[in-house]
Amino acid sequence: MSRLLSNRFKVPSLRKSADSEYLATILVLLGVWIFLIVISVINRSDFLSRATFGAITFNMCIIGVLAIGQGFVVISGGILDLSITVSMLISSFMTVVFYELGWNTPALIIGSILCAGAFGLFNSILVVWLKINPLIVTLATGFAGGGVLLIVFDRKLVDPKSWIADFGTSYLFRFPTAWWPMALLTIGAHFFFKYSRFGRHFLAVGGNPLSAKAMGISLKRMRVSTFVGAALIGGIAGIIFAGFTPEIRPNAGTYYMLPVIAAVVLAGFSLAGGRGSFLALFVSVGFLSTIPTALVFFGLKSIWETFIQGFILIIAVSIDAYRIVKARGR
Amino acid sequence: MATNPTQLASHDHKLSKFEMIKKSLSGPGGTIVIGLALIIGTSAIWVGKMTFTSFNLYLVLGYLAIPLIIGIFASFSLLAGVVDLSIGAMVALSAVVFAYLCTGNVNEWLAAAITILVCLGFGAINGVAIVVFGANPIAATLGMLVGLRGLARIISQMRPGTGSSQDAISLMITGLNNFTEAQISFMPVLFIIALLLVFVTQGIISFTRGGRHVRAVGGDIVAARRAGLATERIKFFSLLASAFGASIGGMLYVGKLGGAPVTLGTNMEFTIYAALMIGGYSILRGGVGNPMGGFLGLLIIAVFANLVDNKGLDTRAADIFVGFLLLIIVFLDIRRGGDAFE
Repeated sequence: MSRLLSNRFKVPSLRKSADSEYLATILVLLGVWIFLIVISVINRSDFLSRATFGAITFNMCIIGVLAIGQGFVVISGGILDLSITVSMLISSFMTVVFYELGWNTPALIIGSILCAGAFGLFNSILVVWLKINPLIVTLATGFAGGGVLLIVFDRKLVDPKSWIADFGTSYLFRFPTAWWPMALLTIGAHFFFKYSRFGRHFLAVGGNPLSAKAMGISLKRMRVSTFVGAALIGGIAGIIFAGFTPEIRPNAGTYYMLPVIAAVVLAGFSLAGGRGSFLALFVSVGFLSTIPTALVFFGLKSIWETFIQGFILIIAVSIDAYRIVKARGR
Repeated sequence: MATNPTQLASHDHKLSKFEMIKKSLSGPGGTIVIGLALIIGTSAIWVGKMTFTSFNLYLVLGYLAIPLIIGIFASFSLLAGVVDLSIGAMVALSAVVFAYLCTGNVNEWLAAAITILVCLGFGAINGVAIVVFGANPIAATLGMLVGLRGLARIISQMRPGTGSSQDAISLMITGLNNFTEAQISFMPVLFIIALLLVFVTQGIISFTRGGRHVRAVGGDIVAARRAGLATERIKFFSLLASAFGASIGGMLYVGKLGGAPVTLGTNMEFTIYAALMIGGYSILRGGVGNPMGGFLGLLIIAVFANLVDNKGLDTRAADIFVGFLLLIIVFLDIRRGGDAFE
């Protein structure tokens, strides 16, 4: 009897099929990335050097961490967090402020990440209790937040002799020191969303909020965790950013906004929520971070960068949407 | 909008005068009246008599005119249920392309025609991504925003300026400049044209078949498709309309400012959509709102910007104000039966 039942209710394992789909995305992205590197090397053989490796991995640090935060929001059905760069900047400004106050390192790190988290809490209150669409909330708070930062801080200089600047410029095991937190976060996010119960809840809420609610998951709690979590990850990026830049300005965030969204969309995260792989995200961040350096080697000025990134984003979202339409069979 | 039981029941008993006033103030009109009254009141107390001089009025209306023209065209895409975030960058591109061509000894009219075609081309790319492939309008046009800002910078650097105006192509077209500065008593001519455009658009949307089709597509796309409307074509043309408006606006700015700064129109999309949303449009669902409301919404922002200007406050204060105003407006929209998130 039990065998009969188990046969009758045998359904194809969902997790496995999703995994093979993610593997295809990862392979395609790797292929494109290698193609980009190969044509750059054919064009200029000195592309394969320590200097380019350093430039690319430094590029990856901040974009990678922010992309994990953005991926967190996207996978949980929060559409997009357009204010994630503001949480990054809040944390970088607070890092400098706390450093000037003479706080010790752990207190400084926790303090500035929590300040970013408070901003995320503000976002989530607007989303959960006023029921405003997160896209509008984060558009408005990102816009207003930039203004507030400019009025409150204007700009801050990072002491070049501080450990913060040292952290941003030093190397550890041949990679930039700041690269390692990004790599660890990627692996952590991968296991969290794949194997932990709490992580699966985010996927469930993102995939279908109504059935997640019927399952007994509190939507409010998940939404608050999503936006606070994304802001906390933005806060981690903020500390790295403080290490990279000698002078922090409130308009610095605009540079990162687009590559981060492009990375998430390219990695196959559905803007509708519920699907995406953080390993693929790592590869797409690597690919996007290689573009600026490759452009320089092709003799194009860096102003071409935003132009090309913009159109990569349009193409990526078009492909993403087309894939969904095709899967539904229209 | 769906009719709910209370609305049906409201025919049964007569509303008292107080209730009627309360009801009318809870709609978009009420928001606008209360908002305008608050800001003008603050301005009158804080700035004083200067608020009501005809010169100040000229300043407010002059600030308003070009964004109004851009906003009216952009409102078509909102009405059809697609948001075009790239209008601000499109304004910069249009200005830079126009100035580039004119400084390259191309006839002004020919340059204007080429500029419009270029902008329509990029509008068509938006259309293909959103309508043909079904991309999320906000993500796709955000990409277009950044891409076009980059392109404007690239073109601008082909005509490098000198000294402080390095990021701008300077160009003075006397005829265009006179046109943008012309005024009839305290009313800028450009504002009168923009206002006429508002009335014409209002007429198109309220009384013509085409206008009703646009509203139908934005209101319920499935129903519109089943009713036999060419929904995709309507969405596509609404995106072209917003690109067209931005291209006209960019060229007018060249005339007004005597040059094309690369940073022209930064955050303009935000201001314009906030204004349109104050006036009853929604960036999440199409089919609602009317141009008159959009005009009054923009008036609120212009009056506030004027207040900030007269008091010499940080211009970023206006950004913060607009950001929070947008949240309040969307919240009110939800209270009035707009789409809530979950």
